[in-house]
Amino acid sequence: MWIEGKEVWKRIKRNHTSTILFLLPIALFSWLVFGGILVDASLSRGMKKLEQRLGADMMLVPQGQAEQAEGFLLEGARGSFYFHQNIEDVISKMEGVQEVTAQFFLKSLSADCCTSEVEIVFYHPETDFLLQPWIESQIKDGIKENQVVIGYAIEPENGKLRLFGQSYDVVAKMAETGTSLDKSVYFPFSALKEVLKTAKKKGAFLTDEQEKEALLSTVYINVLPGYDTSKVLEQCHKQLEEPFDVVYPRKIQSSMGEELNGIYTLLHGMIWIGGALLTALFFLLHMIFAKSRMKEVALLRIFGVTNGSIRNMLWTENLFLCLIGSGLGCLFGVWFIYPFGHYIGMVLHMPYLGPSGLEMLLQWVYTIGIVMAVGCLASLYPTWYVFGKEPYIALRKEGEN
Amino acid sequence: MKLQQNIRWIFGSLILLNGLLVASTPTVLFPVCKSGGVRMACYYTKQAEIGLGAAIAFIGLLLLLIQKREIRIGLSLSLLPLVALVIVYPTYLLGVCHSNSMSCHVGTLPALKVAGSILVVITLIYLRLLTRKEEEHVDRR
Repeated sequence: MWIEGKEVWKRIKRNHTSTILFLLPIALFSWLVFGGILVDASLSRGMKKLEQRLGADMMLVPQGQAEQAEGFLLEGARGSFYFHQNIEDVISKMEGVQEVTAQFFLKSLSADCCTSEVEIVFYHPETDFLLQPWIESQIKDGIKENQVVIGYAIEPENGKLRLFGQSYDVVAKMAETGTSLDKSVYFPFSALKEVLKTAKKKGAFLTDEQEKEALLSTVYINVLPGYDTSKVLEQCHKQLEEPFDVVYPRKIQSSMGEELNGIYTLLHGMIWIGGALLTALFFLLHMIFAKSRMKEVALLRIFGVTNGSIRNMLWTENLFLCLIGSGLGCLFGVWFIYPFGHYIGMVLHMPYLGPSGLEMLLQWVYTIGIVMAVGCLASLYPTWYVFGKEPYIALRKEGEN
Repeated sequence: MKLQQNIRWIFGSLILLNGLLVASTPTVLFPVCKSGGVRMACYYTKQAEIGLGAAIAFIGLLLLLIQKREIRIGLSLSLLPLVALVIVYPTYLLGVCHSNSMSCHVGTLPALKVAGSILVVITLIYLRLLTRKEEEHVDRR
């Protein structure tokens, strides 16, 4: 079998034109399948993470900031918008409210830890229900003023993070979201005063609004199961003195789901149509080469080589080509599609979370499997066709031509 | 002889086109962020890449026109540091905007890396083909 493999390899190397003609559609097909699977899996992974992230029924933001807040939910880029009153306490006492938590954003401040800017968020550890599902390890003793929770893309040094010249203990790291949230640092609200003071001392630019301490950026509300969200909203309109806008994260999620279904249909359609066309092309190429090799096969049969050995040789050649072609196709997929993951997400306005190394390897194996199966199927009839004519007829026909 | 001429045409055109690709990536295909008053890092990367792309395209043109193999080997070798700069400028030397919500970070940077890596592969294959001919020539002598 090994010697046969070596012979086949020699044949493949010798027949440049036919090898290239076979490899091109196989590589193109593999590229299409691999790229499709890669984008498909990354979008659905991003969507799953989004579902987990949009874990509130309602989100209140200052008036006129709804659009920016939606952008924050989808892409994780925070804005500098603030409530001037502590509305969290008022809402928590309303009827039908199950849980309320608030956050304060300090948008994009440069940090000693990182080459890029980080987004600083202050949150209430006691009432929080948004961060905890994202924290990979549980915080056992609560979070203190000199401690932080960091996003996935931030690398601490010896368990510490330096920010505005101060060192903070990292108590937990969040899971990957594929958005700007990965570059966030989370402080408890109790550290707000101290962090703002240090930031100002170190020359960070703070707006007048940011310097006032009792501010909130957003308030997240979960209503009791079965309770009408509009009734809670009515109470908010009556009791809150400050004007606000409402964003419904779960509604965004369902509309995103619909959009994603459309993208999936398009993507799957492209893979199926492209796959069918390339399989047909592959079949045609096999037929053309089967016809051109009839004389060779006939001679081998006359010289006493068994049909089984010839079939083995043809199959091995086909498998070799499929393996090389699909390997190349996947390599091109990694080369040309993988680096543009975030760009695809940005263009589609969808959360995009690329695969890990192991997942990509599995996708690679899966693609090679599909391509080899399709390649074998496409060569079934041509291989049978080669043996369809008696050697002397095949030789005579070649002679006549 | 015909094969050698074909190789010259194919690789010369590929390098010329890739040079144009490098120059058009930060300007047309994946434009960098629009700079208002303040010029960001990606602006300088764009300027540098336009220059590099033009230089690569010019070398590609020379590779198409010049027949002498030794000169083509020299030109291909001179391409390597230029191609390295195509990747190094946006990643280390000049950089792009840091936020991954900026178009230069998610579009221009990966596109330049891909264009640069394609050029590296093309140049190395071309050099291999040119020097292989040399080996065969020496063997025959």
